[in-house]
Amino acid sequence: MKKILNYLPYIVVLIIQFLIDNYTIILISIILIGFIASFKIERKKVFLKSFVIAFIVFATIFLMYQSRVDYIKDLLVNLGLSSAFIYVFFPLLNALNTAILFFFGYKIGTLFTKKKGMSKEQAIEIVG
Amino acid sequence: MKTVKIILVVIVSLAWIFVTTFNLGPLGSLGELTTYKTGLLSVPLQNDGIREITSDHKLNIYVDDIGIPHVYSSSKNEAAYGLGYMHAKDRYFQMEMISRIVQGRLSELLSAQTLKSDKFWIPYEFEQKSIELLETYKKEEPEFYAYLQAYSDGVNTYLENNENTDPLYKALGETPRVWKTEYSLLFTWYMSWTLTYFDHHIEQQELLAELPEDIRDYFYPLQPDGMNTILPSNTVPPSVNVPNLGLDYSATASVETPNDDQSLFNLGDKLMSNHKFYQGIGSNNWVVNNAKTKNKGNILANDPHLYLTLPEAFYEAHLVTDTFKVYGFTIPGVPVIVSGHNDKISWGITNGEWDLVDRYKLQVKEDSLYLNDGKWVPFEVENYTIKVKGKSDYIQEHKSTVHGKIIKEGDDQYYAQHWYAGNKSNSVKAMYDVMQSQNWDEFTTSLRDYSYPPQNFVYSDVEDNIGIVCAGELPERNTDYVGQVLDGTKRYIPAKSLDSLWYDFNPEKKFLFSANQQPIQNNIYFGAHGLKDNYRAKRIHSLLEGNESWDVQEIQKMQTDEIDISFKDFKELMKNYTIQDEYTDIVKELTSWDGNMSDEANQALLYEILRNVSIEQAKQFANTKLQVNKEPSLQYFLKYLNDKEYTIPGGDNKQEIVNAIFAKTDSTLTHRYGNQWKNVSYNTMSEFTISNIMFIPGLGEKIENIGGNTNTININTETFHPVFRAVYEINDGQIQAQTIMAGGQSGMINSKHYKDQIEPWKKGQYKTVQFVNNPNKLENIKNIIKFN
Repeated sequence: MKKILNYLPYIVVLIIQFLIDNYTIILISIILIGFIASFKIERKKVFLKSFVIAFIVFATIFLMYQSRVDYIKDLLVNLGLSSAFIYVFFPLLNALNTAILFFFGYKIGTLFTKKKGMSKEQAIEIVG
Repeated sequence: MKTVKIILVVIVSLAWIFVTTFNLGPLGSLGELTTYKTGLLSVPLQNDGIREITSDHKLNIYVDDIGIPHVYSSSKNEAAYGLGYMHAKDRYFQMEMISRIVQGRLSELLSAQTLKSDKFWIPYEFEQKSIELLETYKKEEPEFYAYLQAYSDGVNTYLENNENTDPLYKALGETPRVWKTEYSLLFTWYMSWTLTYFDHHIEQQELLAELPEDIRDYFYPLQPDGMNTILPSNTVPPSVNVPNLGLDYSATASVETPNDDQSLFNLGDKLMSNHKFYQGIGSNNWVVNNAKTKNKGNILANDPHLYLTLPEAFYEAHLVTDTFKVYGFTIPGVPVIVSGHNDKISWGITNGEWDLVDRYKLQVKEDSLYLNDGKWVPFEVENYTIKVKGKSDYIQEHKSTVHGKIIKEGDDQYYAQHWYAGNKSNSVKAMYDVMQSQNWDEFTTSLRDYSYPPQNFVYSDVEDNIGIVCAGELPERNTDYVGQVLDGTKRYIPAKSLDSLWYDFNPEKKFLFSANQQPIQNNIYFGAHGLKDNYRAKRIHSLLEGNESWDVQEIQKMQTDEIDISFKDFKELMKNYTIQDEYTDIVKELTSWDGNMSDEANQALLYEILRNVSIEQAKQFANTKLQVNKEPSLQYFLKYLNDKEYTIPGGDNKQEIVNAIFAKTDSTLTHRYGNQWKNVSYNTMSEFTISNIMFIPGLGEKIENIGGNTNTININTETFHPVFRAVYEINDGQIQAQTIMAGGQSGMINSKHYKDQIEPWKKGQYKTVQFVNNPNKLENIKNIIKFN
């Protein structure tokens, strides 16, 4: 159960990207979730975990739907780039974006807990 | 150290947020576009197969493997409904964009970068004019009104169920707006702007004011001898003098206003870049009658030339109802076939290039009053509100006079400009009648009501008749008007349109054609057709005249003809002058050449440079010797150089001009290609790119290995190319068509029909049109949409 809770924020930031149709709200939500998560999740390799999970999910989604954006390959070639950049633009950039935003919120959160002089356990008590 | 780390994370994160939320021109940000729900991955592809839609309308649409809809219904209105549905499905973004351009509402969709476009369009009040025009149709033409309404219903039926099908809307973060019936009437103004908004009058005024008549007639003849006009010179309609139009010979040449509206894609500038009619715009149509064909049936050909974009301006469709059957090219947003055929007649279009702009020179004081009919009259000032996406409204102050909108040239010279095609146009209704016409009489009766933009309609029918109509509203100007700048101090009396239909029917020569040339050789002023080269028209005329046994393949070959006959004038030039020894390579190459502007030919490259250099020399000649800004057309400049009897007053050293042409050609060749220029093919010069309609980098298509130039039938200029090619043959009383488009049926960048016709178009290949009464006989159907 604890493990599930530990990974829940990483999953939630992905789910909202499939539900919300407004990028500003998505952006703020990811940062906010990262912020709240800082009080709850294990403070180990947060950025890496976030990036790897996001990349696996987005790469899977991209492979499922890449025919929808095949024209981007033409666009890249016309701009003198390799069509392989499509994998950078979609799964990689999306995963990186998610990880950075999440980590940003998380770091702000850790700053907050440190300033208050709270331990992680205290923070968890307050938030949860 | 930890604090530094945190600060670093915050800075990097904020920089990342800035980069990923920064909008890419009118499009969304990188973050937005790559995130699933807000981005491009969420836009589904359109599937093939059978789709049933519950509706009050009963019709079936069969879409073939090229994306062409074959609409089968019991009534005209149901057919219009089906066409509306398919236009929306394939081209709605284009439809919304063009309708917004004409309304002056583009910035609502694309933000401030298109303000330049809106500032131009909004004062014409086309949105209001389209509403008024529709109201007139409601009262006076209820059948046509119902037809337009049915089309509009079809468009909206598609939009109601398919908001998220076009990646461009997704990329803009927008959804399609609801289509209103009157929007279909906006498109004639857009086409008129493209095809008639040419204002060359200041240049023309300068020619009239500065040059003696004999020199003017020699270099800038408005009625040149030997011109292959569209019609024979025996029809002169009644002409009325308009004595109030005094001529002003004191205007000076125009200074081009620099562009000041820069943005990432420069969309505003690109949308507003129009061209003078003598700068390479061109279209062709011709018809040969049954006595000149192998299978004893008329053959009609049409290849209009426009600025190419993806999607292109036209959309192919096939409508079958109980009362009429028609196939051809529509303009998305407008439910009529503008070039095509039904079961009895076929027709094709080219631009008339009539002069529909008047320029008035004003006397102005205090930057607010102009002299008119002896009185100082204040400028009429109107404020227009332009809504701008994401920004506050822009207030456009528009100043005008009784003569038209005010244009300030240079620091202090005021002009007024009147654009006749800005009036209400009845062209959509006329085309609605044309596509239902069953014979010549009905065809010409329909075109009597056609207004703008003026077009040359070539005609053929199953009764073996051929004809051509130069249709449109020609202003009834002063009889000595030849494009001068007019005196704005005189009282304004609006010019009526000439009440006449210009046509030719079943001529003895057994063929008819138009290539944007002068309609007729008489004293009626249509425009300054004489100021441009006539080589393309001459080439078409000579080919049609020289063959008595045409077939479809030969006609198709003729549409992709790449012979530039201006070369003959250069050959004469090389004979008449001593070419310096150092340029013998150039002469040698050209002597063995036949004028074929093929993409592979090195001589074509050499010749195109020689031709361009000669045009530059013509400009220099005009500026220095004639003391005017407008250069003579190449053909008149070469005629002058080849003329052994005539030299401009004061003398001229023609040999020096010829030397300069060859010297400059040689230096250009070596500068661009080094000493190995003989190994370089024309393709390096002739390639071009078809841009996406939004000018988004990368979404266009580079066209390589293509020949032709501005003088060839298969025209290839910087800006204009054939948008489609069509050949309609009468065979055993049936009309069989072969067509190809410079793009594809769909405007959606994720569609397989976005540009699937480009390759065959480039190669001069065609597809055979399916024109059948029974849908079961259609082949290669990929998608069926049933409304019941």
